[in-house]
This record gives sequence, C-alpha cells and structure tokens, in this order.
Amino acid sequence: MMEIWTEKYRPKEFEDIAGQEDIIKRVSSFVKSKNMPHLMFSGPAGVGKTTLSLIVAKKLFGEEWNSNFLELNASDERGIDVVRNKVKDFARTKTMGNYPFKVIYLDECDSLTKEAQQALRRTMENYVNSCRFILSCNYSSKIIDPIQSRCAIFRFKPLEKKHIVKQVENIAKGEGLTINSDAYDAIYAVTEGDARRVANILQDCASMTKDISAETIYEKVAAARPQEVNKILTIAVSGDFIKSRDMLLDMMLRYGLSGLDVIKQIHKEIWNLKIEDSKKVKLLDKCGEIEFRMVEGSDEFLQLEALLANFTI
Amino acid sequence: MWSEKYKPKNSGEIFGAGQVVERLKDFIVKYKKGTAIMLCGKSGVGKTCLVHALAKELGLEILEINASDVRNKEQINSVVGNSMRQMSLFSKGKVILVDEIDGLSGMEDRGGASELAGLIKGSCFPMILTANDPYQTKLKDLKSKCEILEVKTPSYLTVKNLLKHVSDKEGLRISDDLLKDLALRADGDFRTAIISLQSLAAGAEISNIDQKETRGNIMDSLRLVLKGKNTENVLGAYDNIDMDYGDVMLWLEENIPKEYKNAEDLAQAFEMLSRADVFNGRISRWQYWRFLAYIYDYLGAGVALAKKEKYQGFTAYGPSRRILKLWQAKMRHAKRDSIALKIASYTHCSKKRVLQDSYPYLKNALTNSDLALEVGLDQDEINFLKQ
Repeated sequence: MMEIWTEKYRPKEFEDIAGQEDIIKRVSSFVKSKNMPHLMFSGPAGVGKTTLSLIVAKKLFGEEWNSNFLELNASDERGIDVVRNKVKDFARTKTMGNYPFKVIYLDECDSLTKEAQQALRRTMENYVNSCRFILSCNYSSKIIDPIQSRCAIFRFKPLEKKHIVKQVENIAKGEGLTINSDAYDAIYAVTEGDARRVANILQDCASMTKDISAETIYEKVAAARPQEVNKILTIAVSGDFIKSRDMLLDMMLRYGLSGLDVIKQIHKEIWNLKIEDSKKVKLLDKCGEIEFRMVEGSDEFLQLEALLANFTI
Repeated sequence: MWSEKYKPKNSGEIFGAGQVVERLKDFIVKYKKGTAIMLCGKSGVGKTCLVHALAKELGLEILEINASDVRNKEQINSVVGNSMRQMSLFSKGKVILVDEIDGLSGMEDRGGASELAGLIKGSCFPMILTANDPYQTKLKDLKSKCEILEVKTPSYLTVKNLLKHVSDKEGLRISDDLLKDLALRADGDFRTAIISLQSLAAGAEISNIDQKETRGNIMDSLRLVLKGKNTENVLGAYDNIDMDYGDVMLWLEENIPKEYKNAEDLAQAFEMLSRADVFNGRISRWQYWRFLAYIYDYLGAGVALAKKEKYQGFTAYGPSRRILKLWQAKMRHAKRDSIALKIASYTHCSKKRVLQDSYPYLKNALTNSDLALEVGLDQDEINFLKQ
C-alpha cells in the first residue's frame, strides 16, 4: 500500500527517536508510572516533538489512544475560543477505559497571542483533574511565564548529520533505494536537520528514480522552491519598487510562503546581486534588522516592503 | 459678533499662516507695478482678515470690492479704475482688495476677470485677490498674472488655540475637551469656530452646533502627509478621518511609492511604516495602547519628513490592492489549501507547515489515487493535482 513516508517511517517506539536521549528517558518514565505533569516540548521543526507526543499517547492508552488523545494545532484553529471549546467538549466526556486522565496535544503554541495564552492557562487549570496538556512550540521564550511554570519543559536539540544519515538509510532500506554518498551531504544541507523534510524530499525523488544522487535532491528542491527572488531583488535594485513588490506579493501568495521563508531566501540572494560589496553588507544588516522586526511586528509583508525599499537606493 | 470683535488687529494676532503673512507684508512694502497676489484657501481660514490686519498695521487704506458688489467691466472701472491709476497726494497708501473672485460669474460679471487682469498691469497700488478655489477655469487668465499664495487650512489645534484665546478674553470657563470638540467640528474654519463658541456661551447645547462639514477623507490626509513637510499640519493629519490606523497604514503602503520617487525618501518612509508596525505588534501582544501615540507620530511626521524636498503636482492616490489580492489568492488557492489541510491532519502538523515542507514534494505522489484516498482527498482534489 502507498503511504506518506513521514507517517510510514515515523518512529513507533521511544528508542527509535534519534538525538533526544535525555528527554526520552524522563518522558518514558512518566509513562511507565502512568502519571505525568503538563509537558512542554520546545525546539526546531522536524526533531520529534509531535512524534514523541504520539508515542506517549499510544503507550499510555494502548488501543484506546485515539479517543483519549486530542491533537490541536494553534496555528490552524482560528482563535483561542475554538481551542477552548474543543478542549471543553473533549474534557467533559469520561476517559475510555480505566485511565486517570486524557491527553491534549497543542502544537505551535507560540503562534498564540499573549491573551490567548492567558486563556489557555485558565483552561489548563480548569481541567487539571481530567486532562494533561502537552504543549509544543519552536521558542519557549514566546510562551508566557505562568504557562511555563505549570509545565515540565523539554528542550529538543537540532538533529545532527549522523541522525539524518541514519534516517535516510532506514528509508532507503525500506523502499529499496540506492543513495549516492554525496546525496547525504545534500540532504542534510537542504533540510537543515528537519526529519519531516527529509522524508518528503526522498519520497519526491523516489517518484523519479530509485538511484538518488545529490543532483536529484537539488533538482527536486529547486523545483519546489520559488526561483523569482533574485529577479525581484534585481528589479528593486533597478529602481522599480512598485513592480518588485507586486511580484513579491504574487510569489508569496502562489507558493503560500511566510515572511520568514522569504527573508531567508533574500538573505541568501544578496550575495548574488550585481551591486557593490559594501552595499551588500548594508543590505545584510538591514535584512537582520527586518527579520527581528518581523518577529516583533504584526504585518510581515509591510516589513518585507521596508526591506525591499532599501534595495532601490 | 465675536467673529468681528476678535478679528486680528495686526499680524502678530494672526493664528497660523506665519509664512504667508511675511510674504504678503513684503509684497505690499516693496510693491512693484504689474504684480498682484492671489490668496487662496477654504472659506473662513482668514484670507480677508489677514489683509485687513496687515493694512491696519502698515497704516494703509483698503479699497475693497467683494462678492456683493456687481462686478462688470464698467463698474470695476468706475469704482477702482481711477483711484488705481493715480497716486493721491495727501491720503495714505492704499491696498486694493478684490475679495472672493471665484464669485465672478458669467452674466453679471461679464468681462470682469479680463478687466481685473488689465488693471493689475497698471495699478499704482498693491492688489490682492482672494479665492477659494484657484483651479477654476474662469480664473485661468487671472491666475497667470498673479503670484499664488496659499493660506493653509489650520489644524484643529490652531483653531483650538484661537478658541482658548477668545474664551479666556470673554472669561468663559470651558473644558479643554469641549474646545477640542468645537475646533474639530469647525473643520479649519475660524469664523465658524468662533460663532459656535458664541452660541455655546449664549446657552446653546453642543449637540445643536452643527458640524461644519462631514469629516475629512483619507485623500486629504495623504495629500498633507505625502506632499508637504509642514509638521504642524501633519501632526493632526489623521485626527479628522473615520478610519482606524491599520487602514491608514495600508493606504500609506499603497501610495507612498506613487509619490516618493526619490529612493532614499522611499526607504526612509517605509522605515517609518516598519517601526509603526513593530509598535502595532506590541500593542496587540501586550494591549499597551499608549504605543498608539507613537504609531501616529511615525505615520504622520515620520512619513512626511522622510522626504528631502516637497513633492509637487497631482498624484492619483488609490486604496490598497493588497487586501484584494489576498482575497483573490484565497479563492484561487482554495483547492490547494483544502488539500493542504487534509495532509496536515494526516501527517500531524499545521497547514502552514504542509504548504512549506510537504505539499511541494508530495503533490506528484498524491496523483496516485490509492495514496490520495488514504489521505482523504476527493476526486475533485485529485484532478486538481493532476492538472
């Protein structure tokens, strides 16, 4: 049967999760004792936060894990009220089987505003007798203190190259792929240690060939990523601000890119522009400042425009 | 009538319009034959007052013709003509004031405008014309003979200062908020403001005092901020419009590039918007609304002073196209987004992450029906991916 490889090769046992040994040890002991506090998993994308939560649920509830585990994504559920109502409905019903509590997994908590987090904190208190929360985020600094102090916090480390190599080998074995030696470096470089992207890119490559080289990887990644950034910047440098910002917006909408995706690419492209090096350095500096403001501000596109305007000088 | 009682008696008593006063004084004192000044501005901003105050200060007589006089060629000639061409030996100097020349209309004033144009050439005395709207075609010829001086519409703060001055003189005790309210309602018209104040003092209810005009529109605010560099005007630029600051930011974002053709001006103006947005983010995160004051500073003075030179000429401002594009994209990408949402729930992550990290790589694989059905896609969605 065809499957999506992120799911097919998602680790099923604690010891299959790579690179987070200390965390696994402590979390698995909670599960063994059938008791746990609220947990907070923080760390970059694709290092195993969701995977570990799923394993916790399956180990705690066995066959009945699906009815005792609620998975929510703070960035998809519109507003904290939706989250609250879903939590309320879920927490009100009795646990299936004889378990002391249910588990609610709330992903991407750092996309919640401070007020939403305050509301979440109340919700956590209200249902503390019947529910445990596992909160996941990229940056724990974006989570308000009262929530952090109610959770046992686990900081996931970025995956190292050896972990990615192991994951690639595992998939290659399962799917009968041959991986050229230079392909490992390529995969690690383009995924930046994100295991979800590793599985997705390999699946895309395999649809073309079973023999995977660095070129295959780069070709697939290039096809998936917008190529317009250089052109947009060049138009800005030539002085046509209005045209370049219109193209930027169109590109972002077409590919569904976030401001952060775009600024990462702009950062890379600055060196490829035909302008003086001293100007490149100024633009890099501005790039960093705007990325910082994007985190602080509220309108990502406006911030990108402010950056783009600097290219026209 | 307080509006008469508190007319300025010399140029020092004039509220706002400092530069115009200086230029006008200069023109009268160093008058050269063949020149004239056309004072332009909305009604009630003090055009006529200004001339009267200056004449009084300089000890000059005023020869005034205004809209209530019939102004055809003959009359103009008989009233003004002679006295204009002769310096009198004994009398003091004179200023000729032709008030509200946009009142010159077809029938009654036939020939009036061209006669005036002719008089300007030969006049021994400084001639000052006033008009509400200098851009009317019937004034075209006259305009080319005159120096145009614009009397700016005063900000509500200037109007409020005047009201404060008058109410102090009259010994009224009126709260600051009420004065502000009156000033806002007057919409830059000193006369209306003072009349309202007098009616209020006579016992009228504030709610019965009409607002002079409907509130200003965003175009006027944009013009103030993007064309000029006058901080006094710019500080209150968004006070009179019914629009929340988020929308103001979108209007600026759309229209700054149309006006600021100098690259450094453009970058600096967007720097100001960027800073404003940072404070906007802080407000929404911490609900600390005092930051709003800074946002308005950035959007007003910040953007206005981003330019080195004033921008002239007409620019067609328009509403933001971004919101429309977002909406169109949402419609266009509805299918893609619904597919992404299904992949998201199947692979335990958010739609956003799927669009970045999964969808571009899996869209080929998902044309396989087995896999697509496993993920929960319907036939429509599979067809969409096959395109």
